[in-house]
Amino acid sequence: MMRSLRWGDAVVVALATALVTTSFALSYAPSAGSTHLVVTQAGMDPRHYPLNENRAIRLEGPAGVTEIEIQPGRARCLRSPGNQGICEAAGWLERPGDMAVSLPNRLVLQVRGARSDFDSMHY
Amino acid sequence: MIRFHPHSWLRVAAAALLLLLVAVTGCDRKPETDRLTFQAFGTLVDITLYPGGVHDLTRIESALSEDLEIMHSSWHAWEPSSLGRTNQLLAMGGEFSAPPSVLPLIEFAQELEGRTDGLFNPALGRLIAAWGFHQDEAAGPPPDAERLEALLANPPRMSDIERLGVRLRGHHPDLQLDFGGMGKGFAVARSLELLADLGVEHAIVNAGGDLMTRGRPGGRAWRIGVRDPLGKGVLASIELESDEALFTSGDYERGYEWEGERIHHVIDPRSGRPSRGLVAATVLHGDPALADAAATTLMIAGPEDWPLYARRLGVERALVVLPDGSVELTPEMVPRVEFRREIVRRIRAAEPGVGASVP
Amino acid sequence: MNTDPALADRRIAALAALAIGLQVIEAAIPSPVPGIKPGLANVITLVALVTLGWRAALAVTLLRVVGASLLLGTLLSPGFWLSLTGALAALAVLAPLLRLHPRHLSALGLAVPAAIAHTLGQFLLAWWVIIPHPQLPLLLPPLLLAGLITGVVTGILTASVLADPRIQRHVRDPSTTQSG
Repeated sequence: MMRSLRWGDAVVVALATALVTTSFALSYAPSAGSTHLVVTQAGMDPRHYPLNENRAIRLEGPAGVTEIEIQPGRARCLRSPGNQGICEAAGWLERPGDMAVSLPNRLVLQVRGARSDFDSMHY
Repeated sequence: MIRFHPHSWLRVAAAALLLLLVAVTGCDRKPETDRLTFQAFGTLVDITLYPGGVHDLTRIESALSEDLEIMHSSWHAWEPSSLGRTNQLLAMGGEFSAPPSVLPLIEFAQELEGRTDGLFNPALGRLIAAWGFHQDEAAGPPPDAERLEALLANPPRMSDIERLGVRLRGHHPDLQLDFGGMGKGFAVARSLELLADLGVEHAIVNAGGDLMTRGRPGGRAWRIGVRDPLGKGVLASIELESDEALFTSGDYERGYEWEGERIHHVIDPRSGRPSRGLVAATVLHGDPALADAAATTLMIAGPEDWPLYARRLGVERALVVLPDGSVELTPEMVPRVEFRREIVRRIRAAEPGVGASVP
Repeated sequence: MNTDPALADRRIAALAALAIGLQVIEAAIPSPVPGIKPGLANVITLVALVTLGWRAALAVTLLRVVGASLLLGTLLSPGFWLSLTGALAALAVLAPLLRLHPRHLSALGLAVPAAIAHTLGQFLLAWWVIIPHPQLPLLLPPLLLAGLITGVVTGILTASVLADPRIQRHVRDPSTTQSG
């Protein structure tokens, strides 16, 4: 018998369930148009940085410090060890797949988007 | 009076929980693949494993990197190594037992030299060293005209190595083997075998951008992004099935600037200089060592003759990028590549001895 | 109130003791974010709320939080502040909702919002003050889910307690009493 349940209870439970479901959807659904920078460094777990605000990142590697500059929607290798300037030469990385590499410091910067990414990058 | 009815409570609770379970399982986010990234074989190695979350990644990484480091030091073109000792003994001209790590590479290179009219010639280590590539950071000055002439006067060839079973004898004092144009292919193949031994059935081994696949990730093909050699974005995407290798040789890899000119590490044996005419050559093939050597060969062959040598090597799927950004492909390569930007495209189907253009 | 103050005090004390016991037991349960707990002692708070009024529930809760932290040795630690914040958030939400009980809301309708508020309050404190990690919000959905489930369980337990005839006598009927 449903006698001890009140209409208010159903409203409350429904609202609470909606709240929880929404929080899951918001947290884990890919948001269209948002890109992030993935930094893979040999021997470490990949790190993700959203490309949504100005940011400066310093990464230490075997050859020295790689400085990364992030602005809304783009990132670049600002300064990196190595006399050929390969990392810096990649310029601004904006679209998913754009990539810069510092072999002396053993790291790769790559922009990834919300769509399913590639299993591996060929270059 | 307020009475407590267990059934109604439980129904409400069950309904709420069921709703939540549906909502939650719909957003399952277990990683589909695992990625391992580490430094080995002188480059950045990137392993993709399927399925995600089931393999002992630490064990796999240490086994693979150890194995790759052994290969790297065995085949090192300028540091003391098995290859270095082999080079010394070859130059001396006596008979000796070939080190087991080097013999397969010699056999392979000899066969390829024949098929490519000597365009693919790993016996020219001296020439490569003369251009400053036998050091960690390649640098000039490049060899002057006199030195080049001397190097090209009587160049050593793979055929100058006599094979007697597992013993070798060198017949040219300038013999110096440098397997930079094919070593990665062997390394990638060996790494996939090692992964299979470790129980990994579906994986991609990517060494410095050159890769090979094994197995399939569930019900789909592997999705590979191809970086634009003339920029930094994605030029194309390629879908690979099991046991397919994708290797590219390019002028943007190892190299340096000298007086405004770009000096890269793919040296044309005919001119003794870095190859000209192509920015990159990409080969898709089931044999990674062949793919590696073929990519090097096509770079050297240049924009006119590359289809001819692709055919000679039994390579059906290849593409090259020219300095103006246009792309040429074999007919078999066309359906495999999905370009991500506007390109000027030409299909080249080679008749033996003739390069025919089809718009 | 239809009970005399001394009796109310003793009931508050008894309930507080029960709640302290529950909180100490709950302290032994591990949690993804240290210090954040589902809040089972809220059953006691709800029973106090419904039988003795909001102020009594406040008293029981404060006694419970301070008493448990004294026993656990966590007074003024981050865990203590988390516990206090969760409890106060739950009570804040219960104040307006109490008026809807028992006509529009049963114990379930009180327990679920209380548990959600408890979780949210604790999370906000953890995120703004204790661990301002940018990825911490990713933990919120599962924490809210845990809170919802706990709220449902708490609601059922509370209803079961309240259904006991010995408690029934003390359940306040808004048609006969003023609030306290």
